[in-house]
Amino acid sequence: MSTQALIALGVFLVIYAFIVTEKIHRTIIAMIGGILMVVLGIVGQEEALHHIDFNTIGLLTGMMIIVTITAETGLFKYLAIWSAKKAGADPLKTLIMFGIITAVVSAFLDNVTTVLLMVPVTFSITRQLQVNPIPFLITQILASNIGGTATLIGDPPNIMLGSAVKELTFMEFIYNLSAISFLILFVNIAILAFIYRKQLKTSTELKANVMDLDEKEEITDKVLLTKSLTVIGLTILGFFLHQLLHIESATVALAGAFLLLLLTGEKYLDKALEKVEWTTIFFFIGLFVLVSGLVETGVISLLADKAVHLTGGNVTSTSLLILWVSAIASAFIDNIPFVATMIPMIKDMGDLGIQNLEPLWWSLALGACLGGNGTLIGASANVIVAGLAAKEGHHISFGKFLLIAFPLMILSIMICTVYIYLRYLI
Amino acid sequence: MKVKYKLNEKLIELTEKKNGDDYEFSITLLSKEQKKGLEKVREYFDNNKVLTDIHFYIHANNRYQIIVRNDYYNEFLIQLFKEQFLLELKWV
Repeated sequence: MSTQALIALGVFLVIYAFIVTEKIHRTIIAMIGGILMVVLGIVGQEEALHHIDFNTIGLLTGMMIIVTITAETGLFKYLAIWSAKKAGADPLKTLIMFGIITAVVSAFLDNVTTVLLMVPVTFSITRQLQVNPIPFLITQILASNIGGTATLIGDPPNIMLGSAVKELTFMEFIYNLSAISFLILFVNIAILAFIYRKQLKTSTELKANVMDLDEKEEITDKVLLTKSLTVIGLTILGFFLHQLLHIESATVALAGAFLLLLLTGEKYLDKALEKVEWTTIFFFIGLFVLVSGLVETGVISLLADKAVHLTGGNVTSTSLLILWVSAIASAFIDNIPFVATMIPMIKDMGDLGIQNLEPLWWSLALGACLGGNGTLIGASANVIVAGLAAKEGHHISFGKFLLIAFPLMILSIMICTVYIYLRYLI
Repeated sequence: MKVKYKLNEKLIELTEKKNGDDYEFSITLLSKEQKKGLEKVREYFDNNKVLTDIHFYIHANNRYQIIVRNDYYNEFLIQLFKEQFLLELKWV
């Protein structure tokens, strides 16, 4: 290994350690890592810029703008009350409905945004029904990560994968991941409903209070809602057709975002741009440059070579190794840097003789997205919900979450193992 | 010290009762024009970072049920006062 490669690896490991231990905010430390790669001459500034994947950044930014404006309409409050009423205000059925809604919304919006929209209405409905909100919050955490697995735009690892591998289009994600995600969601929600069934009881009078709510009154701006829904519809249609139209998913999302701003006018511009999670965007930028140091100095190729040797280049064992390692790793560390490192590694495995990379990509997507369900720190949505709950006096402990979520995550990965094996490896 | 308030009976009907540790208000707006004011009260609490300070439930016929957390009771009354749903607020 060259001196440059050793320095790059050293910087990467130190930065990674800081990200894992969360001693310093992950965005600050990732950006410092990226800057160090440039300052130390491991990658040039131009080269570093080429490694920043605009498709990931643009897609996230565009969707965040669309969601911010849509949230102003009261649509998500409407949806929550509507679904609670459809469930007859029965707490157990409402938990299931909220889980399904969270998963579906997560498939098209990022998970953190979804839980930020769902948590306030969850507190509101559970307060009215006088039931413990924690089962609802845990279900929503798991559902958001599972729902996010189903599409290219649902979870950052998928966005990164779809962006790095041109063959993995929006439709390919739907075709390969949506059915398995739905099955896993069904299994997870069924088990959670069984676990919590005794805690979720309320009186007829409290149910009647919820049934009496007028969800239509929650829609604060009907004109804005029409505009938002039209643009969301067009954007989703754009995702379905992006390969046919020869445009990237980031272009679709940004076109949707700025079309909506054009329709709504300047008054939403500042707020929409303010609400873009710039910390996440800069975290990605730092990471892309950090990993570029490893790519340019040949460290990734070396790691890929070792992995191929370990599995003998056998696609079945490589695929299942990626699935399980991604899942376990993502349960304990941030799946974004993990996937950022794995993508070039899998590409190199292709150069090293593994002919069929498809099962490897899907294994990485399933492992990294679903692995986040294993622990309370496994994914951003988990941390956000736990933080909000604690602030409101509902503590979700690491151990309590682990006890429920880790076995469910292992079960989900076992289902994925069977799926990957049957669909791609025999 | 507790706060005593005098209702603006031209604008709203209001009843208050305990709901666990919290307070529950049932408010009926006497005309639709008052909706904006009550929305402003809700917006005030929506815009802070506390999710459980007040829970706002909208029912049919301009009827609102609002569950106010114990420690936000005074703050809620102040907001009602600001929108002129209350005519007087005083310490007793």
